Amino acid sequence: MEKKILEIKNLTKTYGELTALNSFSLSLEKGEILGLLGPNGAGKTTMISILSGIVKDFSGTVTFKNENLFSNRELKNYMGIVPQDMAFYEDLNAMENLMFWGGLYNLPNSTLKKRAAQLLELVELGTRAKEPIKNFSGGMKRRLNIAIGLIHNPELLLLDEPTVGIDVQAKVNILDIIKNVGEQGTAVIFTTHQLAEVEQICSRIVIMDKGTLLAQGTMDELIRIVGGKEMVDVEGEFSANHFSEIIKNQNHQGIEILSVSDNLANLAFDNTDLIPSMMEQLFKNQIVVSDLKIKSPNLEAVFLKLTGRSLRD
Amino acid sequence: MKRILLIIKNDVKRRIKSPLGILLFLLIPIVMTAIIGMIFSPRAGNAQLPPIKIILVDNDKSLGSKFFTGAFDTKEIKDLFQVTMAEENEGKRLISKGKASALIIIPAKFTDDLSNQKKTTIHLIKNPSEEFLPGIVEEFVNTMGIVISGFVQVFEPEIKIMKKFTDMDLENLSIPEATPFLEAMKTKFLSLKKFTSPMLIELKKETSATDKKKKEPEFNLFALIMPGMLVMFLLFVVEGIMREILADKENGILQRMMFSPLRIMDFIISRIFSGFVVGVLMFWIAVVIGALLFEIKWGNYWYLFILIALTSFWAASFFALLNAFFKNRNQAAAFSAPIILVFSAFGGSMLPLEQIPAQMRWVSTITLNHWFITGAIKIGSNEFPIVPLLVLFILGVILFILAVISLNRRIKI
Ligand SMILES: Nc1ncnc2c1ncn2[C@@H]1O[C@H](COP(=O)(O)OP(=O)(O)OP(=O)(O)O)[C@@H](O)[C@H]1O
Ligand SMILES: [Mg+2]
Repeated sequence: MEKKILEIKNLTKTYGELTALNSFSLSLEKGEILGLLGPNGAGKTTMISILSGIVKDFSGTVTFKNENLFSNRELKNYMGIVPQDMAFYEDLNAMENLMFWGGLYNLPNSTLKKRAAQLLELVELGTRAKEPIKNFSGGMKRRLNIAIGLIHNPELLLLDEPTVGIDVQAKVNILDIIKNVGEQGTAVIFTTHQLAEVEQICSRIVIMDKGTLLAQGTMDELIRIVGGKEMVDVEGEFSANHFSEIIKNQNHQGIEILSVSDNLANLAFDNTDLIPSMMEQLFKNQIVVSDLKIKSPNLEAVFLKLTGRSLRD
Repeated sequence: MKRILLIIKNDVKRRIKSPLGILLFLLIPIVMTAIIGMIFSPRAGNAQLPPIKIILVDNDKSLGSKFFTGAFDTKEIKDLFQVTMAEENEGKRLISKGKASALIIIPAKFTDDLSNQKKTTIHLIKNPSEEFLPGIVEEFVNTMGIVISGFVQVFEPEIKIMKKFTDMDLENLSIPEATPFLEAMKTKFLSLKKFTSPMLIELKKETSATDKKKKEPEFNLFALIMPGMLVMFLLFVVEGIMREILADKENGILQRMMFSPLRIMDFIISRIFSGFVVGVLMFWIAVVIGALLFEIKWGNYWYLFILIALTSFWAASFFALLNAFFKNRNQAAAFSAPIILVFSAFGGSMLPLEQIPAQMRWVSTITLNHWFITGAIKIGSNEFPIVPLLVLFILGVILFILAVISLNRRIKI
């Protein structure tokens, strides 16, 4: 059985001068949960929008279930998309919404009914199925929003920032749902700003910025990018320029600046023994260090190394 | 097809789930019909209405006819009618030229026949190009007929006596001389209320230069007002549904629909038919209410069904087309209301067509209101309204095609 379900090749999308996606390639297998990680403006939404048919006029190819995704309308029956903004009829209840949205796909009515009931259990809205959506909390609405994307039992599910703007409990809830969906064999791509989320549930992670894929792999594979280095965060009273000048001028072998801003620097050390000599240099240059943290290698470090900026702007 | 039906079903279901908006739009025309019907009802004789021109031919020139013509001379009635006395031939010439709304001919021997308890007939010739105003005249003459009939039956002896004084100058009749009469008249006046005997005066109605054999249905003022009110509020309801094209586009619903194999074209067609279905439903509820509450005889219900279907279709297509050119919901709301009001003003929903200046009347022919009202009135008088139906059908199809094409082109998800 063919395992590959999606193959994206050389996707390029420009808005005037701006290149939102730059020769982006990616492939996905059944049951994989892929986290698409990137800072603001990286091109995540653009990617999802091309796949869902909203954004047109791009170059490159997308093969879905061994067919050109854009040549066969019926392929949409196998793809579920959860838009970032909630989109459903608030004047209908959850069950009615699922029946309506599911009805747009090729499903017999009896299957649809069963599936709707199952999904309502999955997103923990089983007891609220007949209640007006107006009474729903933000988290409940988000769960319904996801359920609607799953109603036709798609083979590929796309979610754009499904956890933005909700409380911790609701977030955990949604991640559980996504994990569950993946376990049932549906391939998932979801975009996020949150490192913790991808660490928790993704089988594979893609890091992108400025429209370009920077790295991909499992957690372990990605962390190897920063090697056996130690991560050090330095906080104090300094300007970004001054700080990097000092580190560079002292020609510190084995210290790498991952990112630096005023009053905060993220460094990678080959060896923590180098820390005292760095502190000495900083002291000589009248820089007061207020805090210094040593961390083991993590995804954040990988991200910093690749993009030079933090995820949360 | 399955998807189109699904969307229509969903749209209609959503309307029915929160029916307040539609009920309101249903209630308003009914209440307005009731109010206007009562204000303009000829029994009330209201000064708001510009005087209706009528020509009165008195071939009797006697007590009874004087009583009749005198009725047009009372203060309240004067505001309602502008009466011109004429000879019969001259009167007929004027009405055929459309110089008045109606011609009333009081036959010779009117008084004699009345006092001899013989049936007599007042002729009413209506201006064929008008529907509304001659109706009022008709109603008025009818009422007068009833009053005079009853009066004559009750006051028969007095009239006979007075007939004997025909040569006398009635205006110089002195009160003392008339006192015995007045006493008797007072008692009889009280019994007049109870009169139920058959009517002596029969009203013979004609519409000038049209088929005279055709049996005309009973005149009902509400039947003239309600179609106009109804179509105006149908426009509001259907416009609201069509505006949801923009709403769905703005709040991501349309985009989400496009994630499925649905085509934009399917969506547009579904939405137009949603407007159509809701329009038809609303219409029929109103038709039933009109029949029950105002005793409107709508005429052949199959004809009415066709008329209602075509009207709803026209309205849905028209507003779908408009929405192709609006940027957002607010813009649609801002433009639609004035359009509906202009349609209603010129199309006969607010005032009868004959009250609109002649040089402006052509505007009505481009309004839905005009064609629906004309059609409804024709059906009410048991005709098949072929012209209105054809116009609505042809324009409806053109609007539908234009709407689908332009929306398909302009909706970008
Ligand atoms: N319709 C558009 N017109 C012009 N530029 C656009 C348009 N949509 C996106 N862009 C630009 O393309 C780039 C990628 O945007 P995109 O929305 O894909 O980023 P993102 O990774 O989803 O960011 P975020 O995390 O903020 O959601 C950005 O620079 C954005 O300004
Ligand atoms: Mg985005």
